[in-house]
Amino acid sequence: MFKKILIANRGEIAVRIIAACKELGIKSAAVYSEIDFNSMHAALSDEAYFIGPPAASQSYLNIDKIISLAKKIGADAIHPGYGFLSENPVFISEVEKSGITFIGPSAKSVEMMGNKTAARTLMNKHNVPIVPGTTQTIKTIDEVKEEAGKIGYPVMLKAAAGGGGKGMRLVNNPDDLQSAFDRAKNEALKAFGNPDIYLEKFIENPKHIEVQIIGDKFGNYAHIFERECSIQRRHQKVVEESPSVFVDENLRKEITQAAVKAAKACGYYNAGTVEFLMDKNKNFYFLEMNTRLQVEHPVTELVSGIDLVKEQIKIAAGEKLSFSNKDLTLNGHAIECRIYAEDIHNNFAPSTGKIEYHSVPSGPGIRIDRGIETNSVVPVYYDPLLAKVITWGKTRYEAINRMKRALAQYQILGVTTNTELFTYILNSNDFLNGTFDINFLENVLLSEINGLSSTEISKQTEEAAVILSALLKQVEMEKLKTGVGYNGKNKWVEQKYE
Amino acid sequence: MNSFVVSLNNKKFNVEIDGKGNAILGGTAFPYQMKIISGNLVLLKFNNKIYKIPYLNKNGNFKFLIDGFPVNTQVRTKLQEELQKLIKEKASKKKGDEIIAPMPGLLLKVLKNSGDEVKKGEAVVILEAMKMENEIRSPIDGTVKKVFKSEGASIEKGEKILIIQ
Repeated sequence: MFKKILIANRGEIAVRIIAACKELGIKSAAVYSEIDFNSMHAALSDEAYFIGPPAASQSYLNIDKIISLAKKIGADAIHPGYGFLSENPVFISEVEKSGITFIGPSAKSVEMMGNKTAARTLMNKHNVPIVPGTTQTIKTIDEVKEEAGKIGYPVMLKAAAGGGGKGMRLVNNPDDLQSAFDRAKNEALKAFGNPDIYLEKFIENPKHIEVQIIGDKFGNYAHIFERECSIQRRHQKVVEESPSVFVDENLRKEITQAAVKAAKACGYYNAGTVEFLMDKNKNFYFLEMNTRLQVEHPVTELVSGIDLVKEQIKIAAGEKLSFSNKDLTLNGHAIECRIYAEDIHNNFAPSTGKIEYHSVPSGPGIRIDRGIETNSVVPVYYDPLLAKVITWGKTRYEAINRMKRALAQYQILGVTTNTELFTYILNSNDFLNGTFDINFLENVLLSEINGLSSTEISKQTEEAAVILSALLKQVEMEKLKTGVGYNGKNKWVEQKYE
Repeated sequence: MNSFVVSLNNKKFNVEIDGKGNAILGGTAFPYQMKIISGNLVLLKFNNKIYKIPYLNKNGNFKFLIDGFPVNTQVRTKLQEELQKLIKEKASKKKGDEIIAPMPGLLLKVLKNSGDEVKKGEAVVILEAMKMENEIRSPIDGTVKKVFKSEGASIEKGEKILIIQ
């Protein structure tokens, strides 16, 4: 087993990986950028190393620095988390060339799946269904126009190296192609260092269903059921759950087997996710494979009892998969809500600043994975994901009610969060009935919410806020007048206000 | 007896604090108890419920979190409220539309420069925040009068980027 793991990431996922290291008795080494000196992950790990300026390109994406650091401090493995370098085959091969183990798949598997066009070709060959479209990248606007015309609008422009909604554009008519093509290429270049774009038929109102798979280096594979991730905004998942109410026992068998086929096709080992689009008639199409740990892995952990991160580490260290599918039962239901620093009443603009107050919910069936605490700073440089609230219930209904309780008790003050959004989602009929698709949040629910300029609150809450405002204002005025604070020893003030 | 005007969600409320443990709101006297726990945490007992409320105060602009919901209010004394009305009446001359940064970020591209004509809905600048490129569009038909920021500038939320007239 490894002695020391360097974690090439930050935020909640670095904290999650540190937890796994501690439980396995392995030393953890964090890296932090200038702005992350004050961060949860840096202070929680056994060792912490400065890695460079705040910009990710000079810190968390700096391959040379990270590898030479790992060698210097005697780390025998690197865990990349998600995002940053996790799906960068150059990084993976550099790590392995330097004699350090990469906790994840081989560079070759990542390459086969990372290039979306090559992956589509490969899946096609192995009888995993794919979305109609090009299996080659398209270089010029004329080519785009021609192919889009052949496929028929609407079409999707996608980054061949992509994922997570970056470098992705929906185009409804030929007039919008040029600007969408430019934006997509630019974003793709920035996010992935590769501007290649391909074209896919736009499947209308599908669900996003994905399958967690895991394999060891001896060719053993297992799936750990499906996740329903259709609640998305701009291709960023917002709410995920396992299992999906849309998937019955037969469909589960088909889709999980297709996922294992996909993993085998690229000689995959370690944890990975095969994403599918599913139309109204329950036909599913391979979308892409995420060759890393997913943000939403906790819902799978809660319904299966498997610790995915520990399993990842053991597989990387050369151990056999500790379970097979016949050992697994789907136990209950789990839901995850992603808490982002964004303002839902201001076009989801990111919010930055210092967390002035932070209080987490607890109690039966609640898990919080987070990278923030009181006095943490949320900078502009990285992903706006602050925390994940995950609840488990014997039934979906129980998991939802636990989620409502957890969210009402989760208090984050100092940056604007999207917490309010979940109230609308968790109370909507489409969500409760399971009839939602990937456009539900953006096209249906958000247009309803946009009618509200701010939060709708109860009369009692309104009264409490109004009275409290006046009281606090009065305290402030008294403070100015007498120079004595409210909690000071001025008897007169206490008598007057308590 | 102190009188305050509280704004919440575009509504205004008159509140009086009677100095005897009551807040008078909409003609009803509500008995209350309040205790400030720390610089940004306060307890309010009201209607048989104790609210533990985190809050921020910037010059009478309050941000509260109540049962998981953010609530923003603005408070003025009666006197301040009347002064504000006078100031507003004087300042109501319109000076064209300002493009204000809706989020903090990096000004990636200025697509329209001083003197350029723009149509409503046309992109004028591209702001990059948290790895996403965001096109900021013109709210009106008009001409760019002045550009305050140059490409590559770091911009705070609420900063003026340009004016269209």
